[in-house]
Amino acid sequence: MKIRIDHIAKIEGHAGFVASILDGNVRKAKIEIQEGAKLIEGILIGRRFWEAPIITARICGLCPVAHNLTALKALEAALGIKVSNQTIMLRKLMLAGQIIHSHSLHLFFLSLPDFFNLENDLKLIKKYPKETKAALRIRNFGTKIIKTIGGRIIHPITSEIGGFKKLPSKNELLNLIRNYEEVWDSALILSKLFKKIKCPKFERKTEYISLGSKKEYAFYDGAITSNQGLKISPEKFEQNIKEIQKPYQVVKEVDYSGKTFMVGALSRINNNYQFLNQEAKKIWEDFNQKIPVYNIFYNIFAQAIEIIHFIEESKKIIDRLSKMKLKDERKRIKIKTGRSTGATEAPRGTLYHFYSLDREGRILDCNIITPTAQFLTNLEEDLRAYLPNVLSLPSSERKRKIKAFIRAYDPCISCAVH
Amino acid sequence: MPSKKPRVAIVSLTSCEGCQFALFDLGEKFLNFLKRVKIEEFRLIEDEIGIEEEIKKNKSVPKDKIQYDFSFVEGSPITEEDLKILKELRIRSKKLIVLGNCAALGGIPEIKNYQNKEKTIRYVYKNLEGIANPEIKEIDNFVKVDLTIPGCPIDGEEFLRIANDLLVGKLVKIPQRPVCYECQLKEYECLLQKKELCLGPIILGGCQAICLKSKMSCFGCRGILAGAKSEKLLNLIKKQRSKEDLEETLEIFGIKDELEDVLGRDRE
Repeated sequence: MKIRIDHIAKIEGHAGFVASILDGNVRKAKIEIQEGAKLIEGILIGRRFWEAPIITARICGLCPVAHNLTALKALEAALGIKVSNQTIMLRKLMLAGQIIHSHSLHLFFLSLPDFFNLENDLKLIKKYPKETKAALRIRNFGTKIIKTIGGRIIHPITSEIGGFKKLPSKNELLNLIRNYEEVWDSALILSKLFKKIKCPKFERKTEYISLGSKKEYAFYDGAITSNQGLKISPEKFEQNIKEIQKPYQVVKEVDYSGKTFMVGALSRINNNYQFLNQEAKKIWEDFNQKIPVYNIFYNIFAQAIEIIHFIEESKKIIDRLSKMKLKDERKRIKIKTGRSTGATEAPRGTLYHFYSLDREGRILDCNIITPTAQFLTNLEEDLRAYLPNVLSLPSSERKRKIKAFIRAYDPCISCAVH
Repeated sequence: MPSKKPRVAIVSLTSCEGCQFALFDLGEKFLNFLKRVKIEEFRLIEDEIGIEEEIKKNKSVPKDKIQYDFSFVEGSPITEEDLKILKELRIRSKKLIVLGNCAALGGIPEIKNYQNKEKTIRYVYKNLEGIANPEIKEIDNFVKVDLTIPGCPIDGEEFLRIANDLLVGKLVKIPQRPVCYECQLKEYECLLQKKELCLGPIILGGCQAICLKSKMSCFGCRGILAGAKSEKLLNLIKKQRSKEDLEETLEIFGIKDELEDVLGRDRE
């Protein structure tokens, strides 16, 4: 039997799916990438170092902040620049806003309709007006944060190597939390809706990799950790990764230990859930799941929990920032040779940027490893294991289930190809 | 008979999809816009058979059969599939509107046009078979474009204004004023006066000078203003910094090729 899905809608970027099954055995299960190569790494070679955060933001319209900040971190490390605590707080706030922004789009508008068997969001919006309003309010909270700190929602402007070109005023910061109660209520409305969902049964053991820290729910900084005891610096991890590119493949396969692994919201919760903010942790505990959770459909719940966590986190950071007197703390840049890796948690998982600079500050080498590129082979392995569960269904129903499965991963094909 | 809602398609080629997300980021305003039209294609909100599947199955429509009153397309035609979708979209659409810097001016992917693009791809991939590496061209090189909504990304509010005009039958051009017009009106600090490389005087405004608001120079993502005195500005910049510096900055948002005339004169 052959299964072919020409185009998977409601994911970021373009991809299809093919599988072949012989006597009940899955012979092949492959995501077919239908996105052109933008050749971002190639384009950056020879260019001026400060262009990288601007250009790489354009890899993805849904996580530009993550690319921008990861590039900044890598370049700062290469140039030996240590940014101020204030800069780090502002960046964390931006990134928290980005995760809220991206998750709320994926959860509500891309993935949720799958669980209600709806093929069009317009039907979802009609059926769940209150929840739609709540989803929009949460998105709005995220977008306002990014806009206030980064200067624009998509493709940030203010953030640069060493700090920020422009700082938010105290009033602008306080404005972000003026309607906090409403945002909070909205988050609870959504989490209630998600609690109603019956999560399909499916389990496959795999390694969950994310940033980890001893003191917080790591997302801007930390070591690379996993549920199987991995603990290594981002630099080492990035260096040890083998990227394998087979003919006709625009997305390179990412191999770390010979086995596939998972990154993203579920990885972060599996590794760091003890550091979740209070309410997020409570709601997660209500799900009554033993850590680590091996059911990938829980990635959706993990995203819902992270929305709550990062709303709480944003509030904390804003409270602190609004009590500080923000001042221009940009570091001076002294151009020199250097090389370094930066890593952050993008909405879909750990993102790595590596740069090497010559003494004029031109980019000699560069490598970008995106979350989707890391989990794509894990997704395919999962699909191999999942397909036998849906073989007896009528074709259209089968395709629907496969697409729902793929969407639970929240793949970003634009990032994966870049 | 109730009047029929205009049929709308929103399609992306290879891109970051940021222009589509700029629409989503309008929140309720965008949902209200959706109520006024009939969405025929928008793969971020619907999972029904669309133009991508139909092209895979070689289902083209007869040349005279208009299916969409307005189609909006973002991104660069990089793969063969992209190009097929673009051409089919043109056939099906009464009006075709391009969204954003990639579609209008080539965008970030166009930087490779100024490099040795074979070298650029070899840096990224070992196996080149099956990987499209065309010279990047603006969409109007392939199909007729009725209107351009510029920017990287587009400004959602500007989209709404233009789209609402379209719905009542008006094809409104963006006011031909430079970025400096809004920058001065809003009393932002002039970066040119601080001797920073800013292209504001020759770039089409309408962006509310959003970059200048954040003290970032204008690198021209909205394209060259019609009739702008480019030579004058470029000469001024060249007095302050190297030609290389200037040209590389013009490459970022795909406007160097638009200024070939002015830059070329200097080369002789």
